[in-house]
Amino acid sequence: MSVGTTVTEPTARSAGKRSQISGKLAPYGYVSPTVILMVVLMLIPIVMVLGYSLMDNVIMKQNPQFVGFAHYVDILTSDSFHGAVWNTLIFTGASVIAHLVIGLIFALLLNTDLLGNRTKALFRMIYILPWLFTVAIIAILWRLLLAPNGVVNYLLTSSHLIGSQIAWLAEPQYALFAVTFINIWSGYPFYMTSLLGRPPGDSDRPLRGSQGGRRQPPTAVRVHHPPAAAADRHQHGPARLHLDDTAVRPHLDDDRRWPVEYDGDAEHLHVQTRLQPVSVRERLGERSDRPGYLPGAGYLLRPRPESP
Amino acid sequence: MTARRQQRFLARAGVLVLLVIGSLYAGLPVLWMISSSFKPNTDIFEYPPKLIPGVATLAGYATIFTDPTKVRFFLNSYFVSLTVTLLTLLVAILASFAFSRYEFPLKRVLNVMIIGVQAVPPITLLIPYFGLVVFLGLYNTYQGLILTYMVFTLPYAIIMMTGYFNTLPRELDEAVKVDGGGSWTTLWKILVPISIPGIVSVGIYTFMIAWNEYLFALTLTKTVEMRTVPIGIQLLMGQHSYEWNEMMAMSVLGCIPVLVLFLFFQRYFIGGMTAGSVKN
Repeated sequence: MSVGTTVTEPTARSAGKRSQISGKLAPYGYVSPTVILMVVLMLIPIVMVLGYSLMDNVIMKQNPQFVGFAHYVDILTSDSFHGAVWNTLIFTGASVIAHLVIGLIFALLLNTDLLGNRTKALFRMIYILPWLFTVAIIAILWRLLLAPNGVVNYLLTSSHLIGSQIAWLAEPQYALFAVTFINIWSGYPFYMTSLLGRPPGDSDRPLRGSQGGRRQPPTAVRVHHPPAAAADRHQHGPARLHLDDTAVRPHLDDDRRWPVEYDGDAEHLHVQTRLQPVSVRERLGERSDRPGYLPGAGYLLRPRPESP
Repeated sequence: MTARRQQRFLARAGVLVLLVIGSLYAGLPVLWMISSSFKPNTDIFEYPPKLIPGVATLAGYATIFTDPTKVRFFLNSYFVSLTVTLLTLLVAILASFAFSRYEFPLKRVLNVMIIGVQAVPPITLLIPYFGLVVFLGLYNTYQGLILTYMVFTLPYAIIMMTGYFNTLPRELDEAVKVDGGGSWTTLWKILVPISIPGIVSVGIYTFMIAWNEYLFALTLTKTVEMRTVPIGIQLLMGQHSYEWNEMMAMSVLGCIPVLVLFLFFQRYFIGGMTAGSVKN
């Protein structure tokens, strides 16, 4: 794993060159673990599958032979493949439509402003449950529910919707329907949460009030030249920082939304928002004391813990 | 005025009724699973079925906790899932940093590759994959499972993390550079600490995929002491024909880790899913 660019020393030219080269190589260093893994365990199997598909006597036997597209012809002309494709189309089509419809309905219900946040949170929790199960659990659970003498058949027969018990997963005319139904049950929460977005009550400001949706307080800000602001202060009173959603304005100017007081010394920046100043220097430890360090060149602001 | 209030009350009642109907669809199967896990096996198919067991017993749970093989399923699952989560985060953070902060010639190719492999259904690769894992000597090992899961979790982890890093201002990087820090410092001292929300949601999603994976866990392990929980549940089915209460108890225990993660990190679950979806 390569470490990124080295620090450029303005006086040493060779060091500068070296950092240029390592700067070019750095991204490859960062992606190399991913690339190695993906090539060995993903690309190679894909190539192998393509190779196998054109050959006979592979995998279990010796002496592989190249047979061209013979296997493809076999499959494309076989009835069982057509049946499988047809079943898959029904299964997929019905699932996607139902996922979207159910997901959208539930998301709309959960987005209502008629109920309190707690009630909605409770229902959201229930609605997401099917998502949390592994396929093995889903399969076993629904085998239990859909068994001939299981609870689904009991409910349907006792309400006279069906005459006699049905082996939902065993009879060919019902099996595809039953499996699709199970898949819909286990899959809609993903669509629902994607449509739902952030849970209500999660943002710092209420949803309504501002027209353009929620505004997040800035997560980071950098102050370029506090000394200049200090000079400025003598003329205009306390300097104010402009904090933007995109976080950074590299200059000091007036801002009414998140005022910041600056007392003239780069080491003491008082921020009177719910943001907390953390200097890059603090993050980097002693590193910043090297010559060439511009005092106050960088500050990070973190959201302050909620004030009581 | 009162008519309006009445209307609002009716609307509220209507929404509540719909929500309750919806939650029956979503929640009843789960409730039935929990209830069955507390029934004696003989009562599973009693007629008429009862949601609240007449005789409640912990027998199903007791057989799991007293059987070292079954406890092993859980230990395997925890070990594999946690390791996959940590390694995926580490590798994905490195790659995402490169994708977010550098321009390099192969960037486009790698991006296409990472997005492309997501579209390949894993089952189509099962046969050569099996051969490859045996060839590499990783068959029936933890390493084999862990590396396999990383191949499936990395693409989306990288996509999500890159999206997250892209939202962080580049001026931060500049500030570090001015202060004399390299890219390694920028990544670990500055970007990673303020990316914790994104990292948590990627981590949770990774854990969930690893914990729930079934197909490759079944194919790439052989001995019973290497099996994970999803396989263990299925194994109960063959072993003693239909110990339903035990299978349900194991299912309940099997979804607890994911459920706990969900309860504690709900906002990351939902907010993080779409965090990387906006591209600029």
